[in-house]
Amino acid sequence: MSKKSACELCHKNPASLHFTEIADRKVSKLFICRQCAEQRGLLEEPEVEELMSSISKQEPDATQEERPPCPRCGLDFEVFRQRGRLGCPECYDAFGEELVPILREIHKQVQHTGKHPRGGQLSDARWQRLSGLRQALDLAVRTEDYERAAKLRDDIRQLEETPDDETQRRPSEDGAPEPGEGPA
Amino acid sequence: MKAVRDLLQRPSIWLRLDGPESDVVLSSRIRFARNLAGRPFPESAKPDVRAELLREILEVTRGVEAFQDELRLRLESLEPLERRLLGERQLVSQELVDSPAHRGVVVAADESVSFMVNEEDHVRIQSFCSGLDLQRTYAAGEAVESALDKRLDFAFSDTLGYLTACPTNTGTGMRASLLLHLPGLVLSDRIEKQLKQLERRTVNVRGFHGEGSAAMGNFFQVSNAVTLGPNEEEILSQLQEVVHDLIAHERTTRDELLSRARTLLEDRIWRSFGVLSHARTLNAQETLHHASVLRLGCNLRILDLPADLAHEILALGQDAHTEALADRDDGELQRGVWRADAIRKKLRGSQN
Repeated sequence: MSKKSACELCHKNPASLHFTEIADRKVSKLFICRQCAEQRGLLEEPEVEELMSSISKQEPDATQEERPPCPRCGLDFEVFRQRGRLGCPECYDAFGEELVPILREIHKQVQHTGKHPRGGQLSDARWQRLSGLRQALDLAVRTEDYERAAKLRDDIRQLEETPDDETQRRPSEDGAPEPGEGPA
Repeated sequence: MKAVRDLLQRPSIWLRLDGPESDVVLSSRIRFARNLAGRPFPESAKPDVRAELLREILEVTRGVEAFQDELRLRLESLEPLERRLLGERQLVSQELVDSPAHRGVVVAADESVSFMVNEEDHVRIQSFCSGLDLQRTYAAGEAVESALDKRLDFAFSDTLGYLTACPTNTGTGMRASLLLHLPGLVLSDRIEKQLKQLERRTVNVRGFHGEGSAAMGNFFQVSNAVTLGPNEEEILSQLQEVVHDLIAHERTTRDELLSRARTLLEDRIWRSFGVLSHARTLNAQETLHHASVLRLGCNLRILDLPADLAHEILALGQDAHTEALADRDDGELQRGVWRADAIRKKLRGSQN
């Protein structure tokens, strides 16, 4: 985006701020000027608690009501939205599509780069390929291209399950995530 | 095995005064949130499952090297006073003080490392150092985390990292938190502006006792806001950078107060000295407030008192500590009288 773009709201002032709005799984991007941001109250950074309650205040839509609970612990997504706590590690998989935007809102990024269990590290090449696929998946989910998302998910799973021929071993051979444990 | 009250023989880590930058930073604390794969998080687990998780985790974590001569405790088998002592020493959260059922804590004898069982997450590992020393704190905490990792199967995803009950901890599961003493910024009314600026730099600021608490005694806790994305080292160096700025501002402000408002500053400090050395009853909150000002007076060499004296008085600004040291439980008023007595004696002794 060029630096000289006009604000997408007032179409007058030069835009200087990027915002990502998330409401009911719809993600919209805004490139706007400071005045409009202030008017819309976008400059006050919400506390995490407020953020969690704003998540819980979103009205559920029809598709969300049909969302099945976590197959492992039985937690309903609505219950998570109310109390802000997940029921078990598998909830991350069960609610992946809804959780990723929430995680992005909190942390700005959704790719872990820190410590792995049992000191495991991915080889660089594989890491980069996985990371690329995950970014593509992320984009597909955000643009609601679910067909592409499903294919990318399969690719990621396949790559995760292939043994690493490189000198470095896969993270935590014995504690490796179950297939499908990653976020959807 | 050691008992909780044995801990009282030494000051809490945040009151030890022997770490770097201790004129502004009282302590560095890092915790790692970890959960067992395939098991419900504590809040969702039924009581019998939580009891089993506690038994299992306490059992398999026996004999970890960092925990020689440790305290290995089930919270429900402690007296409420013992739980409150652990809380004031920042070894367990308020949640564990208030609701001890099926919860545990393991604490190294020197309190430098510990872990809670069945808090919000199955395991919450903590390392704790005096002053500003994030590297050392991280190394100690990471060593415990790795030792537990060999015995427990932690829930982990390649994409999202360590999976935690609350999405605000997902990723590294790491929260590093520094306890700062900022009386200069408070007295000069600059604190709000400073803290506002901080919130734009991905750190959270809280009062003395964590979530939602007001900043008593000019103590503030600054911690990383983000746990997913940057790795542990990046998170810590970013926090370090923010805190260095804050330390510099606090020191500059103290110097400015000394050169431009010395009399007013001295007046504040001597008034607090006066209250502490003459009052006949003191509650915890006013003790904390005046001891905080006393600490500033010692740092600025306006008061000529032994360095650890203000900290001994700060320790008495905590109700459970006072109650345990007085060894009597005869109500708020009597405790206030005992506390004022003890503080007067300390201050008189120091002037001989």
